[in-house]
Amino acid sequence: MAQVFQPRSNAIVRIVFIGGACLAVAVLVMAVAFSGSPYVTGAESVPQQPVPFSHQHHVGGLGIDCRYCHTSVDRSSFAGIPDTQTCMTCHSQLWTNADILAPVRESFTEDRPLAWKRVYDLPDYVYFNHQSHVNNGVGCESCHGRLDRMPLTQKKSSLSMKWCLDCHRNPSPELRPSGAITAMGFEDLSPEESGQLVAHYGIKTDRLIECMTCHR
Amino acid sequence: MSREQGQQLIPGDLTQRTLTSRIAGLVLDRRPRPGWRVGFVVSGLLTLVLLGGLAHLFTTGVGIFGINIPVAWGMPIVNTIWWIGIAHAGTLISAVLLLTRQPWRASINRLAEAMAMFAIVCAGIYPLIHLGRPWLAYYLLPYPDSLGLWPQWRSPLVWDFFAIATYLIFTTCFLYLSLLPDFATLRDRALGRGRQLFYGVLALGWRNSARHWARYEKANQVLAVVAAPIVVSVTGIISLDLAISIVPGFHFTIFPPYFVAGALFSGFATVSMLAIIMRSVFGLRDLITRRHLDYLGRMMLLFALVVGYAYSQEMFTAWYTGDEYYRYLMIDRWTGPYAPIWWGMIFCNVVLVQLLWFRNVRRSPLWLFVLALTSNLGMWLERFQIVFTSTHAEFMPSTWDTIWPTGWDWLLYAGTLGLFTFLMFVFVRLAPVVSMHDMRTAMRERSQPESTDHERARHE
Repeated sequence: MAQVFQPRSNAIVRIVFIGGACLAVAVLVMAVAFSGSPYVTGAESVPQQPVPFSHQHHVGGLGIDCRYCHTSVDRSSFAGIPDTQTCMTCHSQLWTNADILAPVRESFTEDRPLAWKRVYDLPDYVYFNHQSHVNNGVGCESCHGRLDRMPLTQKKSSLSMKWCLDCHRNPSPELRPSGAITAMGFEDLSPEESGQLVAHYGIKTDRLIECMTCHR
Repeated sequence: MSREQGQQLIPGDLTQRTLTSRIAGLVLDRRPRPGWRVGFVVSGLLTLVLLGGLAHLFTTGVGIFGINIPVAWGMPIVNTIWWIGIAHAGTLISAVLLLTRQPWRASINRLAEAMAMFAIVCAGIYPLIHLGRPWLAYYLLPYPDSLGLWPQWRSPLVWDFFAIATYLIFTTCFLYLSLLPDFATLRDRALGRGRQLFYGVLALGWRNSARHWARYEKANQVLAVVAAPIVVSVTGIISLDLAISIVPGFHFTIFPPYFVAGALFSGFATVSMLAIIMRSVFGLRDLITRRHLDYLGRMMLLFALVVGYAYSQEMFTAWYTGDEYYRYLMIDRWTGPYAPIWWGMIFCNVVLVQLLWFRNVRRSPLWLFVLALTSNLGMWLERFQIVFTSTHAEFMPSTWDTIWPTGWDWLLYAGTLGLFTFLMFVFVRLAPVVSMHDMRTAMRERSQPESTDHERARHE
C-alpha cells in the first residue's frame, strides 16, 4: 500500500500550525490597532462648518477668552454654542462686507440660527458635565487641544471610554489652578503641586471611576 | 480486581484484531446503521428548531423567555447549570477511573469524554443567549479594548465565562489526546484516499512508536490529574454564582460540594443513558456489558445518596439558623406554587433512585435507562427549584411573583437536547465510540494480570 503522506507532510503541518498561530496573533493586533485608529474613532477629524470659523485667529490672535462665546461652560453641563448675536457684537462693526461672513449676516437678518456641526459628540448613554470639569481644575486644553493653533476646529481626542478613564483614574497631571483653566499652552505642574490641587479641589479620586459617575 | 471479574468486563471470544476491526468498522462502514440514521435525522431536526428559536430570540429579545423580576435568571440558567453538571461528570468519570485504574473504564471513557465536550457546548449557549445584548458577549473577554476596562471580576457572568471556557479547552484536549492513537488506526484501515487524509491529519503523524506511547501515557496521566481540580473548581464556581448572594436558598456554604455531587449524579446517569443507547444502536452489548451498567448504577446510587444528604442539610440548616426568611423559603418550597417541583425532585432523586440497591435493576438496561432518565429529570427539577423558588419570594413581599417558563424556554431546551444528541451522533460516525487502544490495553491486562505498569508498553 502506498504511503498516505510524504515526508514533507510534517513540515507542511508545522507551517500550518505555526503560521496559523502567527496569523491569529497578527489579526488580533491589527484589529486592536484598527479599532483605536483615528479612522474609526474620528479623532483628528475636521467637520465642515457653515462658516470657516478660526479659533486660531480669535483665541490665539485676538486673545478672546473661551467663555466670551461658550458662556455656560462653567455654569452648565453644556459649554454652549454662541448664537449669531454673539458673532455680531463684533461683526456688525468689523468685516461687515466680508464674503466669508455672509452666512452670519444672513442668519442675523433672517433670525435663523447657524447650523454648526458638532465636533465632540458623546454617546447618549454617557453623562458629561462641563461645569464640574472646568470648575475643578481641568483646563479646556486637556480635552480640546491647542485651539489657539487651529485654523479650523479639529476633534483632538478619540472620546473612547479608555480615553476618559485614563484621566479619571489619575486626574492630577491634568489639573491646573482655577485662574489658568482657559489658558492655552499651560506648563505642566510638578507632581507636588498637582497633588495639592487634588486636595484643593476636593476631588475624590475613587468616585471618579464608578460606573454611575458617567453612566446614570 | 479478580480475574473472574475481568473476564466479564471484556468479551472473551474477541481477539485484539477482531475487536479493532469491529469498532473501526462502525466508523469506516460506508453505510450507517438504521438506528444511527433515525437518531441523526431526528436530532438534526431538533437542532434546526434550536437555530430557529435562536433567530427569534435575537430578533425579538430576552422577553420571550419566562424571566422577569424577581425571577431574573429563569430557565436559561437552570439549563446552564444542568448541562454543566452533565459535562463536568464526563471528564471526572474518565479521569478518576483512569487514575484509580478501573478496568471497566475502557469501554465507556470515550462516551463520557465526548458527552462532557458536547454538554459544555450546550451549557455555554445559555449564559450568552440570556444576555440582553448577546452581540456584546465579547466584553467578557479580557482583550485590549478601547473601554479601558477589564472584565468585571465581581460579576458571576465573568466567572461563568472563564469556568466554561477553561473547561471547554480542557475537555477538548483530553478527548483529542485519547483519540490520537485511534485516529491513527482509522487512518491505517481507511480505504479511500479522502478518509486516509482526514484521519491522517487528525492523527498528527502518530506512528505507534514506543516513544509516542510513552509521551501519550505521560500526557494522559497529567491531564487526568489536572482534571479533578479543574472539574471541582469549575463546578464550585458555578455554584458560587448562587452562593455568593445573600438570597435564602442561594446563600449556602454547602453549595460547591453539593453541586459537584449533583454533577456526578447526573453525569453518571447520562453516561448510562448514552451507553445503553450506543450499545443497542451499534450492537456493542458484549463490549458495554451488563456488568458495566451495574457499576454505573452503583455510582449513580452513591452520588444520589450524597445529593439526598445535601437536601437534608439544607432543611436542617433552615431550621437551625432560626432565620425567618430561610425557614419561610423551605415552607414555600414544600407548599408554595413551585411545590410540585420540589416534591418531584425528592421523588426522582431520593425515592425512585433507591431501586438501584437491587442488582437486577442495575443490570437491566431498560430499568437503568428509566432510572437514569428520572435522575436527570430530578436534577433538572433541583436546579429549577434552586433558581425559581429561591428568588420568586425574596425579602420584600411587594415584589413577590410566580413566574413560569414560556413555550420558547421549552423550545430552546428541546433544541439543546437535540444539539447534544446531534453532536453525539455525528461524533460516533467520525470517531470510534469505544476507545480501541484502551480496550486493547484492558485485554492485554486480562491476559497478563501480574504485569506491572512498566511492562505495559503497548506495541501491537
